[in-house]
Amino acid sequence: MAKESLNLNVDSTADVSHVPSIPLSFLRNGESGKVVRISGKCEVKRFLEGLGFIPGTSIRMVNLDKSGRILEVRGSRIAIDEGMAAKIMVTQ
Amino acid sequence: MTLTIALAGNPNCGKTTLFNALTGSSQRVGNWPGVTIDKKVGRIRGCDAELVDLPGIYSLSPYSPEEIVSRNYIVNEKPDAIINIVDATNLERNLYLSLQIIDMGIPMVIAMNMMDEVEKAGDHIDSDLIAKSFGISVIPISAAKKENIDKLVGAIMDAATSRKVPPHVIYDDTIESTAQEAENALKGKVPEENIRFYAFKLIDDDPLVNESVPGARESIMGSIRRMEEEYDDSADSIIADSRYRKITEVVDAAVKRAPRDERGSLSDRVDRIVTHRIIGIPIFIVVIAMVYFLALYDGESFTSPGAWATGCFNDWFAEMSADLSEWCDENDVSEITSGILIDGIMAGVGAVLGFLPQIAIMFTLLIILEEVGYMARVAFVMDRIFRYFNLSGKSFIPLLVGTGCGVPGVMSARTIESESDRRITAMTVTFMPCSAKLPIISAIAGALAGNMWVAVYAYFMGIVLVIFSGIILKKFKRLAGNPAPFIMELPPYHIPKLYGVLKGIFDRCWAFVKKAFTVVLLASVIIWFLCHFDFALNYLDPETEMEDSILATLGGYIAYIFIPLGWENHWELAASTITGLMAKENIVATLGVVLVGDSEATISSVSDALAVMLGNEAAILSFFSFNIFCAPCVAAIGAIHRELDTWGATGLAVLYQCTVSYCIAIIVYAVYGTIIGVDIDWYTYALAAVDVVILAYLLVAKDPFRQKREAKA
Repeated sequence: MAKESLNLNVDSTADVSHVPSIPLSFLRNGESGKVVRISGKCEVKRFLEGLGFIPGTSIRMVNLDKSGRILEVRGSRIAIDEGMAAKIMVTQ
Repeated sequence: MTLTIALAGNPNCGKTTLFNALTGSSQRVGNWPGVTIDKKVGRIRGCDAELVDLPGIYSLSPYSPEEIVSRNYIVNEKPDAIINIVDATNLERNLYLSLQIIDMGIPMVIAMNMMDEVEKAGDHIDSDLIAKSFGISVIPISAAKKENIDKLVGAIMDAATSRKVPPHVIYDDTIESTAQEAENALKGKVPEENIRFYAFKLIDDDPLVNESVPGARESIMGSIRRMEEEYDDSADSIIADSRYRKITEVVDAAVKRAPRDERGSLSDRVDRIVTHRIIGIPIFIVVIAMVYFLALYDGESFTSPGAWATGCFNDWFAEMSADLSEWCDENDVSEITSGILIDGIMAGVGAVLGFLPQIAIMFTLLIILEEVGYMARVAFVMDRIFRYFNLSGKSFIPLLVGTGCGVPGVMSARTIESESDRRITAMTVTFMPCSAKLPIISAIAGALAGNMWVAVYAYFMGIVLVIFSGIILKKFKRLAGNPAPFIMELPPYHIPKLYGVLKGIFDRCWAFVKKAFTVVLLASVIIWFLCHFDFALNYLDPETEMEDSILATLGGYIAYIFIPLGWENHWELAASTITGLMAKENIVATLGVVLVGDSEATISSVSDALAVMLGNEAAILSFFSFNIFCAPCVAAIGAIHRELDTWGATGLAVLYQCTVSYCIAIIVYAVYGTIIGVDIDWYTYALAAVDVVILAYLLVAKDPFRQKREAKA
């Protein structure tokens, strides 16, 4: 896990240097962002695609908490945990 | 020829409601994702067609085991047609699955559900435009209000008999040429009609095709690389993106959205409170305490509706029992026959059935909480705690189902993605108090003077034991593993539908009554026989000779095990614990038969008998703790076996449950007994101390398999 998040940091600066992006976990209540990329395991990524998380999708932070988040994505409410929120990169 | 029609769609979009409307059956529905965990089959009314209800999926790339059921069914069983049910209030995401089903090359119809909700919000959806864009029939329906169901049946029968396959959805040229190459590489190796589906799966790098056609992906790597370079993205993201692009195009043209009012933000505000980091869990505890308060509380100043109704019900039972006894006396019925009737059946079944009003009230409240959408939020709240202990909040959903009955509770562990979490959950769901344990809970509450806190203790101690098991069991190699990330759709809050709630209450109560008249009745007769005859099959006088009965002799041997728990040498308690393995209601039924040999085996007298026999509150709590947390009934053990696959693992699971409950019972007895000043034997203290040391060691010992917790981002 620790290694993975390290990779995430390296990737995010190298890959999307032209678009400043932040992890979803940095959004505050009520703020919106657009997905730039999702790192993590392949199955998780596909599952998120099924839920509507793809690059360009607008995400609104409905309820932010220290350890979990409720997001509005394409009209539905999705709850995700802290670790997952750190793997979704968004632009504001 | 009978046609086979599959019903597929996103989780919680009304599949089971539509299934019930189409087939006239009455499968359980609920307001959280993952109610359907295995496929169900029914016959469509008025047609020669079978309908298969599949667990909800977001895409044809499965994530959890119950999703694999759906994918495999669509891919391998090849139904004649598919009804793809979509939630009209959330079209974009629902159509993502539709686009993948279209690739399967199976005749299909889209049932656009929840149209009533769309209209209520003031939106308008041009279903004809969507139909035209994708070349498939789109029928707007409301499954809950049974609107347009006939039209849907007509459309799906048409599609299935004409075998008209939906036209391909055409994407950008680069993607299409890559898809074409993939199709060429797969030609002859996969079924011809599904080739486009497999082609996209090949580009996606899905294990399904990679394993069955090795080397195919390597042969088209050049083409995939070119596409990835052109789009500056990975292949699977490109496909997902193109699908959503197509959908957005159609949805933007077909849907006119009315401006949103405050309703949305009201639900957000509620979420902010009930899922709050600090007060979320206290709220949950209060809610559950309220449920048990209304169902069980019986104090001096206030009697809860549940306790009141149960009291009335039991008076009625006692009267009936007395009448029956009188009738037997008047008509010279033999002692044995009247004994079986009154001291066996009436006492055993009556002792269990008497709790029906309390169970009905408890279920009413729990079902309303589920239907409103609150329980899905609790899973999210619990994730915070569960994840801290290396489990996923997803484990909470099976626990929730397990408070109804352990069997579906164990089965719904299938919705958990990580294998280690799934197995641990299946092993521990039955720590939760199911409806069969309610009679014993109520009897104990009665023995402790109407104290409903025993129920709250049972509920939350159940959750604590699951967490505790997660910590301990993950230290064993076979069960080690980190939980999958928590990602769960939260269903919208809605007012529960009266029919759905009544149906849920009736189903559960009916199951309880049915069990009382079958398993419990049979057990009562057997118990009566075993405690009124000795090994030489002589009839014993219940007043004086019961100590020589078969049950007393057998129970007497087992009773030694429970002496350290403060149960003293009572064969009745040991015997009731053993009969509880057949069905948990039997604990109370057995006590009803053996303790209250006369015709007044009502709840309060089982409670009184318990209070007298165990003597003090510490022993009562110890009896309660062991019986509520030890091995579940045989039906639940069977369910655990289905999830764990081997009898060896199942045996270990049962042994684990018994050991844990024994440890908890002895610790409860020693600690609480000391507090209230019970005279406790030295061996109880010794055993309790050893248990505490072992449990503490298991809890704090370093987990050799746990990876470092993620660094805070």
